[in-house]
Formats: sequence, C-alpha cells, structure tokens
Amino acid sequence: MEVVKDRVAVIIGACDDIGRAIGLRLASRGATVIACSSDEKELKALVGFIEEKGNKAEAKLVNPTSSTDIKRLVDDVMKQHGRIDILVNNTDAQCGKSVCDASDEDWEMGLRGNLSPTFYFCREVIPGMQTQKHGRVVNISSIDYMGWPGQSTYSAAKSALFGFTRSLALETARDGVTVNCVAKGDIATGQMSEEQAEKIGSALPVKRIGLPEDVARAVGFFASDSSKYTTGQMLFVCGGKSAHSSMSI
Amino acid sequence: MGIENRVALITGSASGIGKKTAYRMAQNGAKIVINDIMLDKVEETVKEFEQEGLAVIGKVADITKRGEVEKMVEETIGTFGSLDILVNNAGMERAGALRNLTEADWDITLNVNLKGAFLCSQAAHNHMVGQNRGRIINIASRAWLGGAGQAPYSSAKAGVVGLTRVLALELGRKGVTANCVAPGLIHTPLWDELPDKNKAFLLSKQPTGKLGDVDDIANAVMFLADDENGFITGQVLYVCGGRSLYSG
Repeated sequence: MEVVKDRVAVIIGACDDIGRAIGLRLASRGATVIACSSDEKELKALVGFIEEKGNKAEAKLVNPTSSTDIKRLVDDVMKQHGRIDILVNNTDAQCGKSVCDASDEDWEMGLRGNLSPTFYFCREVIPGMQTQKHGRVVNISSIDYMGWPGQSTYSAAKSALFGFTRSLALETARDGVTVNCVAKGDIATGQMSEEQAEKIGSALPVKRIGLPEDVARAVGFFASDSSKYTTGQMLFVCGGKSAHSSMSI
Repeated sequence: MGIENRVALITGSASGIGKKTAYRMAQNGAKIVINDIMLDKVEETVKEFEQEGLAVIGKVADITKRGEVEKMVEETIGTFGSLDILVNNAGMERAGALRNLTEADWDITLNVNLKGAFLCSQAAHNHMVGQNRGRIINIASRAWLGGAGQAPYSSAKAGVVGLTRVLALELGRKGVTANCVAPGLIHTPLWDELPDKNKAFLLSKQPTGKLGDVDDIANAVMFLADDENGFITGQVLYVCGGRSLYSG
C-alpha cells in the first residue's frame, strides 16, 4: 500500500529520533533516502545503518538555516538523481520560555529553526516536482501549535507551518504535488527516562506515549501514492490528545 | 501487522465507496462482512467476492434499527470469531434549500448517517473493548464543514465527527481507535448521473481540478485500520483534493 519504491526522498532533520524513523521507514520500502543534517557523525551512522540493511541512503551535510547551503544541496541532488519525489521537512527547535522571558534571539531562533528551513527547501524543490507532475511534501508540525505555556515561539512557528502547508497545497494542487502536515503529539525520545515516558503516556486517551515510528508511518502514507487526493491537511499523531481541542479539525 | 486476518464489517458495502473499500480490504487479507439493506445487492456482492476466493459473508440489516444491528454484529462474531474493524460507511443525502426540506428529509438523513454510526459503534463496542483492540472508521464528508443546500447532510456528518472524537476519548484506553475519513468529490456512479453544468461548477471549486477515485478512500480507510496505527485516534483525514481549504 505504501508505495515509495524508487522514489528519491529528501529528509531534513534526518538525525533526530523522528527523522531517523522516517528515513528507515522510507528506505525499507524502497526509496532512496537523501538524509540531511548538520551533524556529520550522526549522518554517517544513519546512512551506514540504512545501507547495512541493504537499502539506499546518502548523507548530505547542510546548515538548515542557510538558504545558500540548501540551494547548493538541492542542485547537487537534482544533478545526481534528476528528480526529488518526496520532501520531508522535519525541523524542531524548542525554546521553552514564556513570552515575557523570551529574548529577541529566542524568538528569531524559534522561527529560523522551525520554519525557515521548510520555506527554503520547498522553494528549491517544488519547481522540479511541478515539472515532473509528481511530488509529495510532508511537513512535521506539532500538537503544541495549539498553544502551550512556555511554547510561544514554537507554537507560532508550528502554526505558521500549517498556514504554509495550506498555501503551498493550493499553489501546487494542479501539478500532481501534495503538501500535508503531520502534527506529532507526545513522542518518546532518546533523552526521555522510562518514568517520564510512562507519566506522559498515562495522561493520553490511548494511555501510552507515541513512538517515532508512529510518526514515520503517517509520513509514509502521505509520501506514497496512496494519498494522492489528500492535500493541505494536518493529521495529528497524538494518541487522541487533540480530540478536546477546537483547533484540531 | 496491517489488516491481514482481521474481521471488517463495512456498512453500505454492496455498492460504491463501501464496496471498493471492502474489496481492497479483502485483497489485503481481511475477512469481510458486506452489509446493505437490499438482499439482492448483498447476495450479488458476496458472490463476486467469493468468485475471487475472498473471505466474505453478507448481512442484510437496516442500520437505523438497533435490533438488526445487534443481530448483524452477533452473527459476524459467530461466523468469524471476532470483529476488529468497523467502517461506518452507509450514508445518504436529501439535499435542498432550507425552506424546501421536509421533516422526513431531515429525519432519514440524520438516521442513516448519524444514528446508524452510533448504533453500529455501540454494538461493536463491547467486543472490541473485550479484546482490547479495535478500529472504528467513520466515513464523514468534506461537506460537514458546510454546504449550501446540505442542511441535513452537513449536520449529520458534523455529528459523525463529534461522535468519532467522543469514541476516541472513551475507547482509547481499551486499544480501540476511532477516526473519520472525509471524502470530497469522488468518482462514483452518482457523479456520472449529474448534469454537465453541475459537474463543471463543482470541479471549478476543486483545487486539484479533478475528482478523487474510490481507491483514494479505500487507501485512507486501510491506513487508519492498520494494526500498527494505534496512536492515531480522534482525527479527520480529508480525502478531498484540497477542497476543505477553499474558502469560496
């Protein structure tokens, strides 16, 4: 069902827990994964791991806040592969400060870290997708877009991502390109203790915390041909946490 | 994982979106219960599936009647030993300007689209909770966001979204997820019957400029029905070619 075989998939933020799960998922289903990150060591490890399993991946070192760097990266991939079919924008920069405590730099970093890479990558990648009349863009947003104390910059950036997704979906709707958001809920990460994960999970309707693979499966659906008539949408992968909120429909 | 060997009851599955969804699920290894109110349509569909060696039974039931729904669910479990996936697909529409709609238009639309989903979910609930596993997928519609001339249908489908979110909150701890698929313009026999003028108008409002096909809906249903996707619940997955974004 999840057909991504022989697709070229560029994944931004490929080395965090969620990016890694997405890379493994798409590669295991036959896509060539172009893993992008600013962490050279982690990139090498990820690509090695994917290749060990007999799947295809390449590492691309990039500064995700530099539009020049991103343009160079996309040009390289296009020269090498001739196409980019899937673009997954997985960026995450949390600040954790309240509005009154956040500095100008915190605010700018929140937008630059969470939002700018998505804009830069889409600007470079979309024309090729429009030409080939096929493309899948999946932006990783967060349930925190609905608002949470201490998350003002993060919420603002993740909300903006939804508006961005909808606008881009409308701009590309007639070109065989879909643009969707996966909004992650509470997801266990490597830094989290078991007790923390259990406590967070027990507060959710499904009584368990999410795993990076839960997000990766949803990304896989939107990246595949199975979802060709869905565009501009946000799907929460949150164990039902969003079901109380007016902002989740 | 996936939906292999899972038992799936799909209401209104002797034609259109329901039938194609049932067929695709059967091809992917699920055991299927075909339901409709018309005996001949159920028999015909079951025969078609059987000819391809697919695991299928048929159940004639009016989903607006509690007794018939309960009997259908009991017999499903009696035959296949389980009920893992419920797709509340059966639906109908009586359209018209508010001033022209009758009380009967309102009642039948609400009964089939909303009460039917409620009764089927309630009937499936005990078994799913008992086995600590289940997937309820309600076919809503993009039209729940509102559409001129669609007062009963929009209201019923909005009710389906609300019902889904409640089911998600109530059943999440028991391994049962509940989600909606909200189709937009889909190529069905009903579409082919529309006058060209209406088709052109509807397509002009469509960001993709195209119709979806029934496979698009089946794909979304199977994604949400997958055993692995237990962390997605209470959601509305639009399969509408971006029509829900359009403000005009």
